[in-house]
Amino acid sequence: MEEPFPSSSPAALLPRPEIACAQDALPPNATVLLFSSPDGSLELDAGLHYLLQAELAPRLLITRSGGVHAFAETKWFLGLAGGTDGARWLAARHNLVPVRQCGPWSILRSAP
Amino acid sequence: MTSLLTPGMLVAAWVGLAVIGALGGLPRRAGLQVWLLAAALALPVGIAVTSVTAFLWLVTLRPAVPWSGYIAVEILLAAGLTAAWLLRRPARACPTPQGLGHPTSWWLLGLGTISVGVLLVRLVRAWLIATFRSPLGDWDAWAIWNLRARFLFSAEAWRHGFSPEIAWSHPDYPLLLPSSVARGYGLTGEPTWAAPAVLALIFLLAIPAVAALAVARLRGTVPALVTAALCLGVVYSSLVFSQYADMPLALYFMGANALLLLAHWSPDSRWMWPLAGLMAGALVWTKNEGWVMLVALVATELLVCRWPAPAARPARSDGLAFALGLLPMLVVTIGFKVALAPANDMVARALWAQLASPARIALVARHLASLLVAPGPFHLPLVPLLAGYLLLQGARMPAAARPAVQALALRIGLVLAAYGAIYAITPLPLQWHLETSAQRLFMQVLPSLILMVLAAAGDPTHADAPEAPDAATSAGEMSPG
Repeated sequence: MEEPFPSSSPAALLPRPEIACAQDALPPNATVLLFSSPDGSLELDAGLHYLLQAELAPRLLITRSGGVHAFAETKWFLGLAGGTDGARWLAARHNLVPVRQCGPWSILRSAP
Repeated sequence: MTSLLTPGMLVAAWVGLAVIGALGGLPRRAGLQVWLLAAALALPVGIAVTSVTAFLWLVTLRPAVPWSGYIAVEILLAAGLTAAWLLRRPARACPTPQGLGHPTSWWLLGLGTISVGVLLVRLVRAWLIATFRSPLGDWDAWAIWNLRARFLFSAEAWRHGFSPEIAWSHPDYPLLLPSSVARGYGLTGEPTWAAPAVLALIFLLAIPAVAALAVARLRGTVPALVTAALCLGVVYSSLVFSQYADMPLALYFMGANALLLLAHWSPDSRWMWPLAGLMAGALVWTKNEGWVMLVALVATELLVCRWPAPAARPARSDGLAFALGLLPMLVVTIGFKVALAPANDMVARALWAQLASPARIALVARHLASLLVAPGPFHLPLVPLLAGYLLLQGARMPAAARPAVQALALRIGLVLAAYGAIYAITPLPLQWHLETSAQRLFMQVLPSLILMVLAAAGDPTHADAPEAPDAATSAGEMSPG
C-alpha cells in the first residue's frame, strides 16, 4: 500500500510563537478584523486566513476583501502593518491603540 | 491532562455498551462473539450518544454546571443504562454461530489472522506518522471539524462558530465530530491535538472491527477475516484525509447496514432495530450526506423488505423500534439546523437547471465510473474485484435474508446516484469539486459495499456445504433478542 501521509503540515503540536503571542494578547471572545498591508487593506495568500482562524479560535477572524477596512467596525485588529513603526502610524491614522507586536503580526485595538 | 482522555473514552464505551445491554443485546449467557460485536459497537454508539449530551450541555447548562458536573451526568447516564440492562437481561444462551465452530482450513485461518494483524500494525503506524506530521489533521479537519470543536469548547465564544463571517468553514455542518472533539477538550482542559487524533483512530479501527464481526456472525470466520483485511485497506487509504468526518460517516452507515442485515437474518434479534435506528440518527448528526444515506436506507427498507408483506405485526414493531432509535439524534440535528446553523451554501446556490444538462451529467458519470474502476487499497480495483468475487462465488444466503442484501445493494446504488445528482447541481466549479471530494465520498460507502459482498457470497471454504439454513434456525440462534 502506498504511504497515505499528508503532504502539508499546517498545524504543529504547539502553536507557533507568534500565534501563542496573539492568543495571549487577544481576548477569547474577541471579533478581530484582519488586514495584510500597512495601509490597512487586505490581500492575503490563498488560505492564510483559514489557517489563522483555526489557530486563533475561539476568536472570530473577519475579513473584508478589497479596499481599506472600515476601522470602526470592530474593536480588535490583527494584521501586517510592517512592524511596530507601521502599527504606530496606522494607529495614529485611525484612532487605534497598538497593543502588541507578535512576530510580523501587529495587534491593535480601537481607542477607548 | 491528556491522561483524562482515556477515562473519558472508557465512559463513552460504557455508555455504548450499556445502551446495547439495555436494548437486550447482551443476554446473561452471551457468547464471546456476541460480546465482541457489542464491544466493537460500544465506542461508536457511546461517542454518538455522548456527542449529543455534550452538545446539549455545551449550549444550555454550561454556565451553571462545570465540566466535572457534566462528566458526573455522563456517569449517571451510564449507570442508569446499566441498571436497565441488568434488570431486563434475558437469560437465553447464545449457541455458536453457523460457520464458526468448524473451520475447514486452519492454515487459511492462520494466514488470514496474520495478514489482518500485519495490516492493523501498519494502520496504527501510519496513523502515528500522519498524526505527528499533521496533529490537527488535514485541511478540512482543522478548517471545519476541529475549528468548530475549538469554538464549542469556549464558554464565552462558542456562538462565533456559527457566524456567517466564516461561511467558508461551513457552520451548518452537523456536530457529532466537533461535539466529541470538544468533549475531549473539556476532559483534558485544553484544545489538545490528542482529542481529534484519538477519535480518528477509534473510528478507523471500529470500521474493520464492526464489519468483520457482523460478517463473522452471518457467514463465519474466513469471510470475516477477508472483510477485516479489505476494510483495513480502505481506512488506511483514508489517512490522506485524516480527521475528517467521512470515515465516521462510513462507520455509522456500515454499522446501520450491518445491524439491519443481522436483524433480517435473525428475526428474533429485535434489539438490533433500535440500535440500527440510532446508527441512522448518527448519520445525519455526522454529515449532511447522512440525510441522503438515511433517505436511501428508509426507502430501500420499505421498498424491498416491507412492501411485499407490509401488514405483518413484527415488521411494524421493528419499524417502530428503528424510528425510536433514530428519533433522538434526528431531533437534535433538526434543532441544530433550525436554531443555530446558517443556511447551507450548496443548497442556497444550487444550479437546479443543470440536472437537465447531459454534458454535465456525463462528466459526473464519467468521473464516478472512473472511481469505480480506479486502483484503491492495495493498488487493486476494489469494486471490480468484489463484483468478480460475487459473480464467481454466487450469492449464497438464506432465502429470508435475500431481500435485506438486495436492499443494501440498492441503497448503496441510490446513495451514489444521489451524490452524482448533487455534483450535477453544485454551484462550485464542477471539475474542481469532483477532483477534491468525489473519492472521499466514494469511500463513505466502501465499507458497506465490502459488508454486502462478503455477506452475500458467504464462505468460499464451504463451497460444497449446503446453504445456511433459514433465518429462524441459523442466525436466530446466535442472536437472542
